[in-house]
Amino acid sequence: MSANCSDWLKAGLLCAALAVLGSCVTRAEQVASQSDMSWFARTVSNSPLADADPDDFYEDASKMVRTDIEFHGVVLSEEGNPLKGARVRTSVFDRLADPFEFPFFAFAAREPVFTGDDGRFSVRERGAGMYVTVEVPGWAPVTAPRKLYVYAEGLNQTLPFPTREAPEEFRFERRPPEEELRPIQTGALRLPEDGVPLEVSLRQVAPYGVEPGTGEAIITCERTADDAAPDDLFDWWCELTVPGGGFQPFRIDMDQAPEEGYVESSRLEYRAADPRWDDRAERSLIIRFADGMYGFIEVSMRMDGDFYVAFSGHWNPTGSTWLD
Amino acid sequence: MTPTDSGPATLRRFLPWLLPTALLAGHAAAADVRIGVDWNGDGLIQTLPGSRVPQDAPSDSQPFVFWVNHDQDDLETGGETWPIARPDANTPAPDSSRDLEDFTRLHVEIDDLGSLPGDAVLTLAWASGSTAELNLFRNEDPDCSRRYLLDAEAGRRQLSAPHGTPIGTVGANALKIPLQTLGEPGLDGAGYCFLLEVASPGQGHLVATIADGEGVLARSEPIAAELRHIKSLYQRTTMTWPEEILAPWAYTTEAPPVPDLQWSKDPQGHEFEPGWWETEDHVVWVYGWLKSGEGLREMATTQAAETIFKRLWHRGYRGRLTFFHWPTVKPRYAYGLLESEYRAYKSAPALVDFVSQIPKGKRIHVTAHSLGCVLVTEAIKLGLEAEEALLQVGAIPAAAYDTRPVLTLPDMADVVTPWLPEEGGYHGYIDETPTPVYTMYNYADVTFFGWNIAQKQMKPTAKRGGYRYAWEPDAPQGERARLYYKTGWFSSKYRLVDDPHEIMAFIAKAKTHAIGAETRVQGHVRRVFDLARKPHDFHTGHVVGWTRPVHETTAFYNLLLDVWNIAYVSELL
Repeated sequence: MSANCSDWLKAGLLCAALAVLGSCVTRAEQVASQSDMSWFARTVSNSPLADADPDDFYEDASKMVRTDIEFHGVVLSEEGNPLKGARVRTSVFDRLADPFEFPFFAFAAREPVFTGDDGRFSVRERGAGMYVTVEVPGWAPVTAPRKLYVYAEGLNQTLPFPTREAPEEFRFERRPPEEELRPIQTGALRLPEDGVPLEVSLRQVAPYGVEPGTGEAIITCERTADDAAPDDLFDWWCELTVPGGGFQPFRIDMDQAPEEGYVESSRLEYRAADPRWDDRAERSLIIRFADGMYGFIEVSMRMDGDFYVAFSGHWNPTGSTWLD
Repeated sequence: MTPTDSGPATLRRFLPWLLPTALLAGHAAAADVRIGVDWNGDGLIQTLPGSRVPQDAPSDSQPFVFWVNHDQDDLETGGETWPIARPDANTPAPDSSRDLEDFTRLHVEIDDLGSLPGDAVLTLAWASGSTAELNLFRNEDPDCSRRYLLDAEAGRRQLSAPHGTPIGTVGANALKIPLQTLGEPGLDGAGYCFLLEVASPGQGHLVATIADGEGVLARSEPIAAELRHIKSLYQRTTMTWPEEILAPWAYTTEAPPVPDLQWSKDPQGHEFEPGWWETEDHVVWVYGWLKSGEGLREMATTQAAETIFKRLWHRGYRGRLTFFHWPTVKPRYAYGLLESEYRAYKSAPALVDFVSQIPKGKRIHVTAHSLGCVLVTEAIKLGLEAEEALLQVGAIPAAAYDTRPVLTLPDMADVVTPWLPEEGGYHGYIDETPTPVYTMYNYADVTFFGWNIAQKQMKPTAKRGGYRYAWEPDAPQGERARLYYKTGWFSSKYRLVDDPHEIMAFIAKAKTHAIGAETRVQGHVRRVFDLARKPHDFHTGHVVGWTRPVHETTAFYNLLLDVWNIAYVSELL
């Protein structure tokens, strides 16, 4: 019995489809970030290039990356006032990548430009497309601050192209204080010994803890042998205390910290005999600091290996309960 | 300094040379200068003892260690140039944010800095000579933080003038820096913050001296440093597929020979040398599907393995790191995927052997990327014992670990294919494991688009020359998997296929997603981690961990260490 002829056709098609697997190692030609590539891929997913004849591919694509681009934009407040000094970053899809690596183009970032008194900016380039990202420090975007514009004929062009007379509008509003959340990232805090409390700072990075009496939280963990359990299982517990403040479990529907319901201290226990036993655990909590500020934290407890805890999350320095 | 000088000022200038620094500690008039480096990898630089934070205290037996900047990071994003034509250390300035990974911090702390004369000069030199060369830059952050590695904006500032312009080189000649050229001091007015890159390897004792036109004002304790080629800092192994053993479909009248694959050291010109800093942790990282061909393993080593090593190092990891290379087939594009899967199974005994030779008491962490997860899966099947096995975007069906029907893809449910273990299929391939298994998944990973097509369209596999695998469910048990081969224009024969590795690689279709694309895996997987969500945001990427800029992968490397129960440095530090 002979092999099915269509198998060879499939093999050829597969080469193109599987080419993405070829990225297990970075190649020198790869200059686009994954987010940029994926974004572009989504936008041009109906591209005729996806089914292009390889013989014509280079010719077609080479023309596309030489397309003239003239882009005009304006950055405005929500009330329509021009915002001067907005930072505009552009990346241009101006070169070919591996012809078997969808979406076939690669981008190169340009030096940022800034808006003038009238809030306007313009960009002249050559490429198949370009993405534009606008940032205004202290302001939050009302419209999408990052957009992709495809200019090459034969792709899904972003029509109509923004012009001097009809520029693309990017609108921003003053960032409300609720959004001024600060990160909590303690990194791994090694626990001193079984049963010895570690006093920690959550809002300042202090990987070795802080002096007794000055911490925002105190965590104590202990592991104990359980003769009835297999050798690699053990009882353990951790106790968290927030002196002068408190915490409560986080629920998925919480975007603000509740006013009530906090406990100053609580203890988590794992028994070796528990079928759900693990040497690691996480708890998501809403925390109220002693100074009345609120935050969201995830507490990660690691009772094997380096024996540490880690706190990550964010807090609101305005005193607002807003945590989303 | 003139012969007529006398009095306390003269004494102050000469004392550092006349007496050991320690004896000067109580001398109120003498300025004190200290060199600070992050010797212990905790993200902090602590030059003095007596604090809650441990002192960074290099010594002859435990020197400060860093690597030569030998690669070529001159691309804006994504990757590195290969082959290396112009090592970064030979360029006058850092080329890209990726290049910044080859820089580390150095402080010079000066007590009573404000009282120094205006013509004071900082000199950095090797105390008794060294072959090592350091290029010195100003840290863009006057607080001497590591944000050049953590924040893209800070990284850009570091690449820009004046911070991206080298101050000079400490080598055979001392580097003299007039303090007034450094502008405002950092460290709250108590010193200066630099970054260094290593241009040439060597050992030595780095000393900082403060002097003015009349003599030396202060001299630091020497800092013992050992600056090495990066390939001496982590371990590599490799394996070669025997040339005489062909792909299994080339064997028609007899079962394919099974290669006795043995791992061997892969020095690539630089032997691995264990360092004083090694903890009890040993990470064994199994490569994914690498391109095969002359020099491409070396390329992968430099671009992927070394980047992984650097990022783990900057996150505080000080255990051993071994990259385990196996003989993939990938001449170009996507050719060789299924044959590589076959080879992955056959390479697994060597991994088990490698791990078994690691001394008792070490905490062994085995991880693999993509197709390397096939190898690790087989190693688990063979009884691999480790603290855990971490499958990163694994290219093996989720059903190998989790047999729950909910994972079966609707359009694959009724497909006739070897599926159960007794048929040589993937389903429930792992039925027990002493090693806890974790997976990192990314359902948006575009690689699995190709993997799914391979499962559906390329199995059973047909090959040029008339070789064709087949699954014939109506045949008696044990005779269903076959390799047909042509014996004439209109005639063919077949060989029975009874090796489950050959069946899985070339005949069995996956009825579930790959484990690296499946969010719901349970079964023998203890826990799964989502790489598509914040803060990782891998999007459609498959090799994000070492191709994205370092600023975007901090959380990923912290996650790796956390899965291994290894302490890591805060993402803010």
